[in-house]
Amino acid sequence: VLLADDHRGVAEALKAILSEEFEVVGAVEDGLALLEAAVSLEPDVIVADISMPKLDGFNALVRLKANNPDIKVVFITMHHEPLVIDMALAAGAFGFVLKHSARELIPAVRAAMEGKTYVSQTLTRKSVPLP
Amino acid sequence: MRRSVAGRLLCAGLLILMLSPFSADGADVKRVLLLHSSGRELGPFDVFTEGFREELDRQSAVPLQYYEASLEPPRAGPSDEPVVHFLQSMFADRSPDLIVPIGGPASKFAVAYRQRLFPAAPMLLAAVDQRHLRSADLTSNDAVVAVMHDAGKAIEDIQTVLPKTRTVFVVIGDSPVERFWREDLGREFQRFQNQLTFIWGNDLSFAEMLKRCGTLPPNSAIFYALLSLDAAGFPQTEEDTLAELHKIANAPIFGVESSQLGLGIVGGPLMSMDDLSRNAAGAAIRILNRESPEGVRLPPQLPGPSLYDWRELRRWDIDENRLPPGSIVQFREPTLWQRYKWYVLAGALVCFVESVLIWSLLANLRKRRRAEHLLLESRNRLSAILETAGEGIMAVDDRGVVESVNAAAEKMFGFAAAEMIGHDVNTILPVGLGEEVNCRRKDGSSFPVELERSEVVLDDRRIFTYFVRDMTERKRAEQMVLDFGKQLLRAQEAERARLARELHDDITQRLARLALDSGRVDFQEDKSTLGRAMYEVHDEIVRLSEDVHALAYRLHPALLERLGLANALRVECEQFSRQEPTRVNIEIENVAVQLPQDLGLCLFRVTQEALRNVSRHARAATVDVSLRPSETGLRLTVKDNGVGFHSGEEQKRPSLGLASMRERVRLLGGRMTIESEPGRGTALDIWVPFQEVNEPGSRNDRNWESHDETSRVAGRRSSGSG
Repeated sequence: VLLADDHRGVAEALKAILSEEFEVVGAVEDGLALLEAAVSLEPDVIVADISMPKLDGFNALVRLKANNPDIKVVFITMHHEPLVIDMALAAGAFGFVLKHSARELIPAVRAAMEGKTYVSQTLTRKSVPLP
Repeated sequence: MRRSVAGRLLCAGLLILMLSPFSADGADVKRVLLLHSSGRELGPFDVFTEGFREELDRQSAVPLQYYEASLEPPRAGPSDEPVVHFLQSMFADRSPDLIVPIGGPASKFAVAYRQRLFPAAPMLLAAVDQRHLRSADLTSNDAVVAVMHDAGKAIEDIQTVLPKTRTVFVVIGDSPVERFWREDLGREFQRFQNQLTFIWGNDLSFAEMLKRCGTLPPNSAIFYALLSLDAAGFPQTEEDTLAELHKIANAPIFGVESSQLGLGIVGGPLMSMDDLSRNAAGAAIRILNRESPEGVRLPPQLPGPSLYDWRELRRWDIDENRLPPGSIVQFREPTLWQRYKWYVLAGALVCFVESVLIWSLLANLRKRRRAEHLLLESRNRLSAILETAGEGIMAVDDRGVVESVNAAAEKMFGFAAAEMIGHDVNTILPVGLGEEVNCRRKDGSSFPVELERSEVVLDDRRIFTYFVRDMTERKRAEQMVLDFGKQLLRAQEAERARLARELHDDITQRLARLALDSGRVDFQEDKSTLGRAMYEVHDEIVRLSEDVHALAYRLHPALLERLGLANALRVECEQFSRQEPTRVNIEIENVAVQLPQDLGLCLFRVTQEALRNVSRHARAATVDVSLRPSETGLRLTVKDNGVGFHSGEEQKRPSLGLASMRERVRLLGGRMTIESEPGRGTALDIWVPFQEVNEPGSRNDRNWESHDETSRVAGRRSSGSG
């Protein structure tokens, strides 16, 4: 598994979680580095944040797909908007997990490895409107 | 002159026979013998004779044949025989039908020789002074038309008109009849001897008389009685003697006969020759009509009304008021006024008319000068206004040719007036009118103006006045305000974005890590109190994380940049639908993902604000949001079916939300309109251009192909989309 998240703390937490079941071959902090690492490390699954410096997750996904249509990407993000999920899935993502749903990460990556699509279960919660 | 020649012939003692033009042999012709006292042409009687014959001819029913004979010129002694013989021979065959002796000598002669010459012929003694006649001498065949001279009265008259008179020179000749009168007058004048000294001329030749009359003492007068023969024996004619006397005398001359008036005498109670001849003619006619001569004897004629010669009165300075009552003044010279009255009147009229004309012309001129002065003044004032006006003002005729420009226009365009006047206005001004057009200076630089045009019709001629206001400064100021507003907005957005990023990149991530860490505990398996507490903490962290995420999103929609405006709006509407009881229908067509950041943010924020207004005020069931490209920008409409409001109220109490929406739109050069009515919902219509068009004059670039402009706009466009 290749991990891409610009937040080191989050990335470490994610790595800790993923390491329980998968081998984390690398961790990058921006979209461009992700593209390079995806070529050099040839991961089975990429776990990527959407909001990343240089190149965001969506664009990175589009380019990764262009190189390797079979690439499997699971997005792990704070964006829980359904549209974003729809877009991510439309772009070819195999998974969509909210960052704080650690329990769902393993099943999502697993599903991706099996060629299945996984969407975070907690996406029904309402966001709180600001005044 | 003619008369003096005739006088000389008479001196030879000839008798003159004069025949009338009628035939002497006609049966009906009556023959009249005129017997003159002196020469036909002499004395006062010629005037009588002329009047008498004239009147006689006029009144006579039959033609008359005149025979005239004169006694010898006044003689010293009696020698009547030649005349008697002549008359006898002349009338031998047939005596005259009427014999008219004229004057005293002739009458005396006729009476004396009547029996010898014409014993039975009727005779009319005419113009004879009563003093020469004795009634015993008259026969029944004799008629009389006599006079009664009154020399005393004449002298009294002299005293009346010239009271200071002390000396009177009496002009009188030395013939028999004159001698008679000398005596008579001498007696008559006796009564004046205490008042007047008389000098008698009967002893003097005419030359001596003239001499005396030229050297008379002061307060003298000359009384012209009768002068047919002077003491030297020369016959005199009255007209000539009076003329010479008048020429030389140093005292006024008075006379006795009306015939003398006008020959140099002052006047007085004169014997009227006209009356006398008329009366005599009337008497003659009666006799010729076979009336008895005896019955034709008129009372003697007295001196008539006083007649005076106006010229003499003036010469001797005699006041007309002194003249006796009833006096007649003759030969009155018309005064200059009388003589030239009509010329003067006509001249005066012409002068008056000319004066009126001149006056009116002058008045007209004055009025015109005044008008010209006022015109000039008003023109000067007007031109001062024009020249000091801040706006450029150009007058253009209907063919588009510039007629005049003011100083401001010269300054504005950099052309001298002469360089503009006479040229086509379109070489200076752009074709369009309106608020924002660009003009070009002489140096080629371009500047924004506000252009107005007014039209006047003068004498069927259209004149256009262009008002050109240089908008450079204003545009600059406007642009500064716009730029400042934009900067403020950008700063605000940047600050919000920084905050959002801070929240997102730091707080949210840390919360996410906390959540990830805390979430690793399997709560299904660990049902301990600690595990439950841990779960609740995890749950709270997740909620906190979501809330902070939402807060960050509110502060700055990170998705907008990532997903594009269309998707960001969809997300926003989706959320709105979820959170509010209002259904949102969103319709987005052909909107590119990559849009200028400002544009996307603007529309996104406006939509956010609009939806917030709907949730707060509209109580609407549905909201329709639509975004589609329109012209060179994007058009966003937000319509709800809520309660609406009065459109006017927005102006009265503009809400901060609407104001900020307007401001955002305006800063990008867009337009925003709100239509609303109570009960009919609210419709918001916003148009924002892709490129910002708040640069001065850039809207009219089509009119002015400016490379600067286009490249600048193109640059902005590329930077906007980058």
